[in-house]
Amino acid sequence: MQQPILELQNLGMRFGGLELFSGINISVSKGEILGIIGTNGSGKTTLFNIICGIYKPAEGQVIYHGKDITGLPPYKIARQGIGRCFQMVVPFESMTPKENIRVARANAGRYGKGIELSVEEIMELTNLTDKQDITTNNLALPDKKNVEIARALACNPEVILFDEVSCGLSGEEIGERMKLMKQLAKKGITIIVIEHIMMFIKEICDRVVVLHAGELIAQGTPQEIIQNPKVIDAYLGGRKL
Amino acid sequence: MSMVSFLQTLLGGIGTGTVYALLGLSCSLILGKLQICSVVHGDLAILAGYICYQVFSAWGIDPFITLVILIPIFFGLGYFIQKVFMKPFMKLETWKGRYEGQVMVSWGIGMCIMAMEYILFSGKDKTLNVSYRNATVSLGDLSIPVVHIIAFILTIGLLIAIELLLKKTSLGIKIQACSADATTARLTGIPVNKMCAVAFGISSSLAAVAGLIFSLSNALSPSDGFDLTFLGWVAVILGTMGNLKGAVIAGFLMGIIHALTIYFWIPNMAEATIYIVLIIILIFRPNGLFGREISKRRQAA
Amino acid sequence: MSKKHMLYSIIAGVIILVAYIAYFHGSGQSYNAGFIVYICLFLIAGQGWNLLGGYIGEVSFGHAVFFGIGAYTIALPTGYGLNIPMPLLIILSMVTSGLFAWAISYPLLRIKGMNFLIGTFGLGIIFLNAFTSSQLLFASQGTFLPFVQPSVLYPVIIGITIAVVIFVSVLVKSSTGLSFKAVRDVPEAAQMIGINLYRTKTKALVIGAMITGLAGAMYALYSMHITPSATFDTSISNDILLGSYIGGCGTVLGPVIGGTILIIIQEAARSTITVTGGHNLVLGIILVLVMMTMKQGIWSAIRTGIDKICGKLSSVKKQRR
Repeated sequence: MQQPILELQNLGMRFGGLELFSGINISVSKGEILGIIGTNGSGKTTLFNIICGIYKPAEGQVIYHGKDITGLPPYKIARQGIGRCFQMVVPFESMTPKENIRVARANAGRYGKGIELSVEEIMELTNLTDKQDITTNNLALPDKKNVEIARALACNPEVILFDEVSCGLSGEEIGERMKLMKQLAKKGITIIVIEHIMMFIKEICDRVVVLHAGELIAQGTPQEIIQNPKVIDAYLGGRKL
Repeated sequence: MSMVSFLQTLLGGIGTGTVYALLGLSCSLILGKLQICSVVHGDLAILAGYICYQVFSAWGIDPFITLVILIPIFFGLGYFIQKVFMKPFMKLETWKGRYEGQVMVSWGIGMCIMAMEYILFSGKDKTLNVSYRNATVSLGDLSIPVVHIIAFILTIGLLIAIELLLKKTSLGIKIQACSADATTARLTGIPVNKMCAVAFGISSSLAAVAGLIFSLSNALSPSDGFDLTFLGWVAVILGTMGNLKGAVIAGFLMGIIHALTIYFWIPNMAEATIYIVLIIILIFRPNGLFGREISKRRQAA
Repeated sequence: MSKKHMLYSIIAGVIILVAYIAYFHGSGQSYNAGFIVYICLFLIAGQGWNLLGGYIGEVSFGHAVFFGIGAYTIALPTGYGLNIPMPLLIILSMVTSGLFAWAISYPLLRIKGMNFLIGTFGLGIIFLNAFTSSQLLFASQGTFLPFVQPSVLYPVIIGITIAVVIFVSVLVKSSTGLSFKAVRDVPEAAQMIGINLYRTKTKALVIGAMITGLAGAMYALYSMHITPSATFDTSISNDILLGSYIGGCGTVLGPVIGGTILIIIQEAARSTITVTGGHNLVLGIILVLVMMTMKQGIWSAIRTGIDKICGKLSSVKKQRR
């Protein structure tokens, strides 16, 4: 097996006295698309926040390229090549898409040792070529999401974390995102997605982990997960897919 | 320094602090609870002081009687300011246009009030010379000005009254709801704009009370208004946003700092020392003296 | 900013400078020539404020501190009778303002929003009180500066104003300026593209302070006599801030337009309403009117107006086709 690029070891998190999860072990290898599913409040977004350094975990480590990056400030983690798209769409609204890309290039992009795409390539991939000079707050939601993806790509990342990209999009637009993610994975970018739509997970993910009630209850290929009785019980409430 | 004079200074500080406490209470109600940012309160306070002065010197009516009439008038004034000038900014996010706009507009109103005072009363210091201004009550070796005692009782009484209003009456609970989440409050059928206006009215009335107390122990000058607003805000922030009791206690604390600086250090630096203390406290407790954890919403703001 | 734009703005700047010098000599160094320079001082300071207030979004009520430090750096050596060449002092005043900003950035930038606003206001009060009560700093009577020929000083100040405006407009289009905007728009996302929030804010604060300090130094040379109440007073902070708000903060031309309008109105009101402090009435009304009708300031309103007209024109053209 390949050396994992990102590893979460025995991760635990609590807010005040409330334990959110503990003993989470996940590893991702290069070029893989990993899906994370779980009920609301099972700690998926918190997991992302820990990877990005926004929260410090109560226990455990985040290992990236064999180095411990736990507790580093977010900007340093971003500079090492971990990009992120937020659940709430937050592009820099007062700038054009082009400037969004430029500012990311000038900051994390200068340090990122990952896959470097040219600005034109990024525009092409995210369908922004003809909108690159419109101020972002005048764009529609799907385009704003594209701007955010483009911004993450401009950081020259090796790993991108997607937090529910399909949220608020139509079927066709979700299809576009799936195509995009597959293209990115082919270029060697590791992708971790949080998703609620099973079709999405089934289509693109190489591997899926399931979080439930503070535990990692299953991991495996999408097919295995769907058939796993524990998952069906916990996540799908006993219904068959 | 003897114990007595030290205690005397402390008591004097609490007396001065009542003005800050009342202004803090008034700002805390709108800035802390409803996130309405206004710099007009100090000017309103000074305006109330000037009205009391004018009524007293023209007809000899006691300022406290004037105050009884001023409270509803200032309530109406505050209601009007919120309805007309502050409301357009309420839809914006706190630091994405709302605070900036409200500060500027209320500042404009404050300037107008200040200019009117300059024109009507000239820039010279005016003193409200009521008979009990210099009267004191002796308590052992200590002598406490009557004005301070009245002010202290008024402050505590108003704090309790506002707390009761917020906790027990349906109006107060509606205001609390708007404070927690304006959108949800609107969806539950609470007239948010009206509630904000009522809160602004109440806080304007409180500012009027603060203004009277200020005028009883200081000389009035139109330019004091702007500084007073900021001292009120300092009380709000020191006592943690939205914590009424905290604001009042912080107000007293500021008064004590003020008095001690005058006693021990350079009198000229009294106001500056308050700000030095504020900045030091903010570094260690960004949330004020009485805040426990930063709530998500405030952190984002 | 592209090279072409840069070239245009430099040409425009040179034309303005030449026009001013011509006017200055033509009008025989009238009151107006000095007044234009007075406006320019606040335009420079406004640009400095705007970097932090407009582009980072941390509203400061205490930029008079940097203004005053700049002014005092240039005035104190002369006050003590030291003979240091003027150009060196001007540079020194920028450096001290910047250094001071850097020194206070540690406590100051750890607080934000409302706390920052009040903290900076407090800083202004602290400096005002400290300078008024310190005999070493000549207390409230202030100190005098050597006389500089207006025929030299005024064009220099106009030139500096133009240079600062061009510098700021280049800066905000550069990746540094884009980082400022990113921090203002979404701080969380800005971190995730590798922006060090604290470092970026410090950068804006220090550059802004240097520009404001420069304005202060120029003010000292212009007025030839400085006192704490003329440099550290809250009214200076207010003039710096109000100009930006009236014009529209977060734009380069906003503070220029707003500052000009503000100072002109202020002086006009001062000469018509002779009662002390009465001019605030006009200022207050203008402020309320501007903020109520155009929330983003005058310059943004003008820009949207131009966009609308252009939109109409282009639609007319399309219809004709």
